[in-house]
Order: sequence, then C-alpha cells, then structure tokens
Amino acid sequence: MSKSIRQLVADLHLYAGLFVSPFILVFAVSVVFLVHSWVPGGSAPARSWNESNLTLPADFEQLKGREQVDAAQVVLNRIGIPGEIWNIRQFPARRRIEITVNVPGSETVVNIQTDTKAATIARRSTGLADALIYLHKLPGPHLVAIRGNSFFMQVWRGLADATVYLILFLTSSGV
Amino acid sequence: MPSSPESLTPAGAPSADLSRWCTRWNRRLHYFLGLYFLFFIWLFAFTGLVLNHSSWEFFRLERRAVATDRSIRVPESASPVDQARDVMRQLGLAGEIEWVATQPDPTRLDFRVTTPASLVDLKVDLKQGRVAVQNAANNAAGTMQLLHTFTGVRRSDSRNDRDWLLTSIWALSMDAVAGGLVVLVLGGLWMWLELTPKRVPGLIVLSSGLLICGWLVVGLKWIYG
Repeated sequence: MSKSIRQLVADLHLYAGLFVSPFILVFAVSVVFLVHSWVPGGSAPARSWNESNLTLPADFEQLKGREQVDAAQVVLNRIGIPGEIWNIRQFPARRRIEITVNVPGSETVVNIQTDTKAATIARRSTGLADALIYLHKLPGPHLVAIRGNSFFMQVWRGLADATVYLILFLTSSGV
Repeated sequence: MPSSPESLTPAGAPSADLSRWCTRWNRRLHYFLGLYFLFFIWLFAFTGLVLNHSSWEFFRLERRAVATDRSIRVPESASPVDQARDVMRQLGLAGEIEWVATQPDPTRLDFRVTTPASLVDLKVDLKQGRVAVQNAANNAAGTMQLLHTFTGVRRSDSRNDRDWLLTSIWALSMDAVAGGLVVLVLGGLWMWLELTPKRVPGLIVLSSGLLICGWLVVGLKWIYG
C-alpha cells in the first residue's frame, strides 16, 4: 500500500473513530445495565395534568396500525407531546385510547377520552441509564410496522446503522 | 548502546520517559485489544444491524419445531427450580431455565429451556409423569441474533435469573467487550490528543458526534421535559 493511501486510511480511521466514539460509549455503557438487568437511580414520580377540547380525527377509533399511529402523532403534536409512540391501547367499551410516548429518559402516558375529547397525561422521568437502554434497544425487531414514527427515532435508526458501518470500517482499517 | 536524546535531558527526563512509555503501551493496548475483541465486535455489530432490520430476508431467524411426548420419573423435590433441573437431567437437556407462565396448578410444571441455538418448551404433568416437549431449533442466523440478546435476565421480569453456567460466561464476555470498547475509545482519544496538527479538525469531528449523541441521550428530555 502506498504511503499516501496509508495516510488517508489512518486519517479516516482517526476522524471516523472520533465521530462515532460517543455512540460506541452509549452502546457499551448500556450493555452493563442490560446484561445485569440493573438500572441505577430508579424513576421519579409521575407528573399529571389534563387537556380538554382535543381535535380528534373523525375515524380515530376505527384506525389501525401505522395509520392510527400517524393520526395519534398529529393529536399529540397539537397538545405539545412529541416523541416516539411506543404503543396504543384501545378500550372501546369505555371510549378510551391510551397512548404511551417516549423520548430517551422520559415516558408519557396519554389517556384520551374520545367521547368528551379530553385527555389525562402522566409524564415520568426514567433517568439517564434508562435513556441509554432505550436507545440501545431501539428501533429493534419488534413492532416494526409502527417503529420510527417520530423524527428523532428516524435519525437514531440512521445513526445506529452508521455506528455499525463505521465500527466495521474502524476494525478493518485498524487491522 | 547510545542513549536516546530525550533520556539525556536533565530536567523533566523521568516524566518524558514515563509519557513515552505510556504512549507506547497505549498504542499497543489499542491495537491488541482491538484484535482480541475483533470477532466479538463484528458479531455484536452485525447482529445489532440485523435486529434493526428484521425485514432482511437473507438473515432471518427461522425455527424448526419438533414435538414429542415423553414419560419421566416424577421429581421428588418441592422446589420448582429443582423439579425443572431433574426433568432436564432426565431428558438430557441443558440451558437457561425460563419461567414463561405462573404455575396455578401444583400438578403441572411448565417452563422453557433456552440456549442460543434452541428453545424447548416443556409442559410437565407431575401426576402422570408425562412431559410434552416442543423443541424448536434455530437456524445459524437465529443463533447469532440470539447471542446478541442472550443474558438470561430481563429487567421487567424478576422471576427469571441466570441459572446456567454458559449464560454467566456469555454475560461476562458481554461485559468484557463493553469494557474493552470503553478502553479502545479512551485510548483512541489519547492517541488523537498526541497528534498536535490533528487536534483542531479532530475536535470539530468529535464535537459534532458529541452534539448529536447528546441531543438524543439528554437533549430531547431536556427540551420536551
């Protein structure tokens, strides 16, 4: 290998390594929490509040899967609750829809009463360790059809992939 | 043998020697630790990628299940774990015991034995001395994927604990890889700081990585509460 190519590979190894190092630390540190099923700190008590006069899509209760998640994202954005929708549970007899929304380190449960168009919201901080675990495990192999319903999760999906590709480059160029 | 010019420096010579020694060993550690963990890193990196892309057909987890019904000697112990171990011994099974359901009926014992290569569901009739065995063998792609997540414990499930020696060894390996990666990152940062002309461009690249990562890890919560 010529000297200039060696220098180029060495430079790319250095800069790729520097860029990806915080992401590697996120994955490495969260491994310890995942392997030992241990999360330091614990979660704080939830903070609750109410919202009323919600604007809900007419067929909100009939929607399923990704369509329902996309409609729920619009409703949540209107009341200022951004994040990745984890799941949606419906209780048709009670005209209630429960949406769990996450950002790393925080979980919000939104209970929407569809007949009165009111919502009860409970948000709890889950801590830094939980944020690392959350990012390590997502997007993951489960609920693929609805995963990546928020902007940050789409970004993270790309970055998680990029971390792997960069690690493969770093190890290969290191050898 | 001639001394190196640095060792003849009267002032600060020991610290210069120590610094050179540390630099040399850090470089070696970075290189050899990377080599030692190379296949572990490739395994976890590649399977992590696959887990995030479950639609990739070429690396899909597939299981081939075989169901059998066997008679066993009824375990004498009262403890469910000892009973499960006894049944496993009789059937020649080894693996991590997983309790998948509560046991409301004292004449029944339902559990699962998992290894990265297989998943065996056992439904034991303690009265009749019969066991229904559903043995699902994973393909190679599935085995590799399960190695990524095979810890024997789950955060939300306090009933299950590591009870197989190989799970403990694998968990220790995961810890070692994680620790090794931290050392590789820290050693890499040190080597970068020694390259004076690369400090400024390196700082820009590192800061951009830190900024994006920080936005995801703490920033989103800070912004949205």
